[in-house]
Amino acid sequence: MSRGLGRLVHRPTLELLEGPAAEVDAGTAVRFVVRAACSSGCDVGALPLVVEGPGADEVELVPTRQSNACDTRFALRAPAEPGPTSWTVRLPEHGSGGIRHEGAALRVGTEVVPHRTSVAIWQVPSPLVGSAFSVRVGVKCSARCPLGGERVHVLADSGEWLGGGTLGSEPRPGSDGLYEAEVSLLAPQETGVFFRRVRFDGRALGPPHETTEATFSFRALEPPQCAVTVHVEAPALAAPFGGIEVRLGPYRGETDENGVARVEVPKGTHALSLWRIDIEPIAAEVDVTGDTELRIAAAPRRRVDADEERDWM
Amino acid sequence: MSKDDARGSISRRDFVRAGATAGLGTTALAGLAGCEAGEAWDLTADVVIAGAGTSGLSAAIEARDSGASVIIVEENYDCGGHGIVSGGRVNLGGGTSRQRRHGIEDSADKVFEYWIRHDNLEARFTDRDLTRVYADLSAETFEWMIENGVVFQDEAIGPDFRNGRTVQWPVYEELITSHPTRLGSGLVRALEKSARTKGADILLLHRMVELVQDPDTRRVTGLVANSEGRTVRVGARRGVILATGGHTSNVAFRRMFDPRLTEEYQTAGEPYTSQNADGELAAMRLGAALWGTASQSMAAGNWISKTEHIGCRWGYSSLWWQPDSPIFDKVRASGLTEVDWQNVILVKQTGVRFHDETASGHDFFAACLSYSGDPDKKNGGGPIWAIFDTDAVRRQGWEPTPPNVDPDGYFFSADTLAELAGVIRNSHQTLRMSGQTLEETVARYNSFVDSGVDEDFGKPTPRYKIQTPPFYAAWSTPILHDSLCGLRVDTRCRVIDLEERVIEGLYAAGEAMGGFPQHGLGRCALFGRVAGRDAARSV
Repeated sequence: MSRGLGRLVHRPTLELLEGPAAEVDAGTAVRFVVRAACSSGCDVGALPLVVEGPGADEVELVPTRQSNACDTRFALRAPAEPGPTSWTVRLPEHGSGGIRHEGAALRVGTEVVPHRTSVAIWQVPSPLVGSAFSVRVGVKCSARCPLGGERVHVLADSGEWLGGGTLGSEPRPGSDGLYEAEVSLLAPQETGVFFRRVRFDGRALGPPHETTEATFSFRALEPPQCAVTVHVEAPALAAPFGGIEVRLGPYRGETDENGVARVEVPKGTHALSLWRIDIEPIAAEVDVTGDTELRIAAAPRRRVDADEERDWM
Repeated sequence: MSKDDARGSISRRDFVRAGATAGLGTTALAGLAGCEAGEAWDLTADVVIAGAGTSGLSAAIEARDSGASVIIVEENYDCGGHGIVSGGRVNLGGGTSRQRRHGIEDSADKVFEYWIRHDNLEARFTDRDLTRVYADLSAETFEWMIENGVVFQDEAIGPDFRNGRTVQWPVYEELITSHPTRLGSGLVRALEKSARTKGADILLLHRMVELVQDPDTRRVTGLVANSEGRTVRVGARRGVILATGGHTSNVAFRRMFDPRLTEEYQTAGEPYTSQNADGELAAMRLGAALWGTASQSMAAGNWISKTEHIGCRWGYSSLWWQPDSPIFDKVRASGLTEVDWQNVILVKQTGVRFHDETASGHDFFAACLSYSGDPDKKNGGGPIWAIFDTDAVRRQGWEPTPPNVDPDGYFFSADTLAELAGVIRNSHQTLRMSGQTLEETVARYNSFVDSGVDEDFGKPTPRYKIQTPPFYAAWSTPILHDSLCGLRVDTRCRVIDLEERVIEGLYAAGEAMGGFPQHGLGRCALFGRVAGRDAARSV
């Protein structure tokens, strides 16, 4: 507080309680909470803030009086074009009743960036060599932009285009803005593990989006020649026999409610494994020379007392 | 208010708190009237014990049986310490009634020979004088516990029925944890009941902050406790016993033995009880020595363990906290349990894998504690996150929502891996996880699932891809447990200083004591008894 021109002069302060991060997505709303206070304890709630900068002409100020302060909430939309930007919040000079409140200003800067996008690829099978298969591809925008109708592409390591799909109009159920597409592909003619790249190019979108890529792999399998039928016998299991995963190397099946799974495999030696969370894992090697029936005894998973088996001598 | 009034107000309130089981004892009343000349004690007793856990309660019973008056100061709002939230594991043999019942022939000599074996890392570093005491009193202490109300299961952990567990305390509201059973309650509540019945007084919410030493004789004559901001001076005519329960919660202290053990590692028993090294620090200020420190840094034993319940802060193995626990407001989440490590990968805070997830030995922990990549925090391994997808949730039968998980820093989900990396926030996460790094980590791991071979860390036949949204990150940072070293004591549990002199009037037992680094509560009860008996008979 000081005296000037025969009047008491107060110096209010502005404090940013909530504002933009160092980077904000282009065209998105940025929430602000600015606290105005007078060091002499005056009620500054009567002094409306002035906001200057991008989108400020549409700002709606919501002041809330606190004890010895006033918090004003408002939202501004970041510019659609990437680059540095800033806003200025002012408390205008004000005088009444022999007291003059000096003006105060707060400058808030941030970097406006293109929307980041990210990709997920799932339901990737292990296809037979030379066969058609499909994968699910999902794309998400960091600002939850609707991406329905946009294209995703699958490329070989060399960059060769191998397939594409169009994102659905609605987000994946249960997701927070993940748009998905089914992409049909063709497996190579030889066996092995192969990598593919998924690309989403959002540069043409408004506001601009980053291009993103993600990699997935799959194993192309030799065609099967015979069937292995696995009967799981588990009298001690409380749960039904269904849902036990049966693998013969990369070839997979799952038991039905009777505990039976049928897996087609090539002739040869295969690593058999059975898994469900409540049974002891089972692993064995199986020589398959033709259609085969296996009977496997499963036992409930042993519950290990955590206070035991803690010594690694 | 007069001094007597002040003493009276302190004692009445605290004794009412402490008297739930057996009413008021005689010691405190004697203490109120027996303030020694020249000392400004608020309370006095023959034997004063810091800590009402397994060793403190055992010391109290033994001291009362020897005719001494006893005051225990306990910093927590209830008794039990680490013991009450433990699995009730008690390692005592040498010819117990249980061993005889099962046809096991055992002897003190056999116990001694086992616990000094050079080829057993846990036994290699024992002080053999203390081991002899343990061996000689082992069977006797087992029977003593039964006499004092402890009920043992008639099953053995390991061979020879030396190691077993107690039966859970039957009074539900006196348990701290609820499910699954925490068998340590059966040990601690029984000892507490016996101690109170025999007249030991327990001052809850009294934290020892200082020992009092006679400047001329160097004898320890009492302690200073803090109770909710008030100072309470408690005089000990015959001795003070430090039964404060070890040091693993004290980051500065534990890092003396292993600089890697920075603040991100929780300690089993927290948040009910904290192993804060109060006893060690108070005694070290008087010149006390530490002992058996090799045990604390050995690459074996129970000082560190893998998280059993992920996605919560307090995930120690059998401590699966449930919402009906009386301290669930502090625990906040139970965690996702019974993890099949084929369903997840473990990554450092940077988003990179570092080891075969199915492993749990000390090579695994060394990898967990390896450099996290933060040049500003070179020690410690940083947070470890379990990364998995919605298919894993289905296979495990998990429900990844509160109260099973703690979204306030210990569990996160997102629609893509890149997004998941970006939302991980935790006070111990000193680096932002890169979405690209996590994507690359998972893509590489998924290719190992395709090939069936983990080329990086040798995980046996990687089984499941991480691919189906949503994706999850669950706190899975290792947990510290036992204090395996502590104050140097002689065979009477008297604390020894750096000049190898006895600090008269000062004893230590349990995890605050060094030289016998056994996992479980047998050593705590046994050496608590030794300390209580010797202090009571001290003149």
